[in-house]
Amino acid sequence: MAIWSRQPRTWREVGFPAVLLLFIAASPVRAHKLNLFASVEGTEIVGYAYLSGGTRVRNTPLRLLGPDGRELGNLRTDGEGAFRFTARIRCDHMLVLDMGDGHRAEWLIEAAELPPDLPPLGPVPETAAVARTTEPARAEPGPSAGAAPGGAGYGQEEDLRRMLREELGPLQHQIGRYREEVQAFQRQVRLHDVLGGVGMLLGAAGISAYVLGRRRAGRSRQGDAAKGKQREE
Amino acid sequence: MRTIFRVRRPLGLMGATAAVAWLAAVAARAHFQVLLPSAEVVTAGGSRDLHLDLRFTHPMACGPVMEMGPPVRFGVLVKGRVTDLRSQLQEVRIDGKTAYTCDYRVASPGDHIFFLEPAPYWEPAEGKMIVHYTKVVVNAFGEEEGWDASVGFPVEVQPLSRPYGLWAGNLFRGVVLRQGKPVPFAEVEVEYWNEDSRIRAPSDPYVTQVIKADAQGVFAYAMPRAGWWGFAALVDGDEPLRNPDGVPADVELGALLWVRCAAMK
Repeated sequence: MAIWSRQPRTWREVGFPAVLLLFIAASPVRAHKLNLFASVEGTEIVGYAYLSGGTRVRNTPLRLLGPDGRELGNLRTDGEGAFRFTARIRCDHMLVLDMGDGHRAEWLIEAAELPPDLPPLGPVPETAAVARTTEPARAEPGPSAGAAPGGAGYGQEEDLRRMLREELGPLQHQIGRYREEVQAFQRQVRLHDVLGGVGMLLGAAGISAYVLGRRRAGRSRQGDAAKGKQREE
Repeated sequence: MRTIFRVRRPLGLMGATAAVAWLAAVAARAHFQVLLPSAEVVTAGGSRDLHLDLRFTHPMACGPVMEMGPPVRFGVLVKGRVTDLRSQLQEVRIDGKTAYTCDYRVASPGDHIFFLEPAPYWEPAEGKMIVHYTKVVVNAFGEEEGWDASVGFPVEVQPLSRPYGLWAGNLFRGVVLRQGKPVPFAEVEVEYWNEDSRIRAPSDPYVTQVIKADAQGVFAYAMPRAGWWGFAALVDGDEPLRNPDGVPADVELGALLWVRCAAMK
């Protein structure tokens, strides 16, 4: 009894203020879902990052990825959570904002939203070669961009990298397509499974009906035979 | 063949009885200015095109539709900025009566409060003019900012529950304001947007739910089913309006708010 009466006092003295403090501390960032918005203005992709309540997400890295996963750009949101990026290629731009702590937002700018006079995404991912540099989109795409910095060794390494990327680029694209196909197939399979299941149930019902019918028929025949025997006796 | 005919006749009789019952139910309906968007939440991956349905009808009874005049005000409030959308209204005919639609493409994140001040409607049966100031809130791209903002109507429902992302069964709360001040014990009528007449009211009182605000003008209602729900706070107008015959008539001012709730499954 004494212990019971002490517990609520402890709760009131410690628990409640602690919970209150926690609540106060948590309230400014409560339910802080990360969001990203972008639209196209001329050749520029413009937008901002924000939390559900409207708070802007400042100074956070933002990556722009092409349809094959290559990086088209890499920047940071400004003091107002805003960003601006000049598109060089007319292709899908997937904008990815990653705060690194599990908070992540994406926004897709489709190729059709960008001006038609921009060059389409070529099969040779030359721009990807520049993607590693800090200002990837501003640098002019071309073989010189990769070879320029560093000595011969660095150049060779870059060449190798570019070669690999050239080889792997289309492959990545294919993998993406296969993934879509697999997903479509999985959806189909689900339908097949359902239909198959229904068929199996019907089949099982049919077989059991047949077996039961035969058994009943057999029994009645036996019964008739027994009666016949009795009559003979 | 004969049996089929024999079955059919009772069906016809049942149909006639149902029609009579339906007509009786319609008599107990309440007028509601309807303002329904095709979606109340616009997401990054989804469509940005909204289609708004503006009609004056009885939502739970599914009609009849009443004639709407050209709206006095129709627009959208986004982050403190008002856009007049009257020029984008499309006149349509529903059961021979004028109604409107509007296509709107969401361009930026944030809460979009669509608001409508319809032309006053003359209701000869009640001998009064009806003006329903109506709002509906659409959230775009997860920026939940501004859903409780005022659009400056003389009578307005200010939501106390965020008016989107609601589950069926949620308690919806709001405060009835007149010239920005709470209206104590204001009467609020609640109706369900009974699409395709799916729900049949067992008797008249079920058609319109009637609740009263408390002394602070706050009302609450738990929505029992997924779909659109209309809240209409009704107050008497201070000044009479002239009816179509030029005779001054009493005015019913309505502050309406539409919210949608989804089934939790």
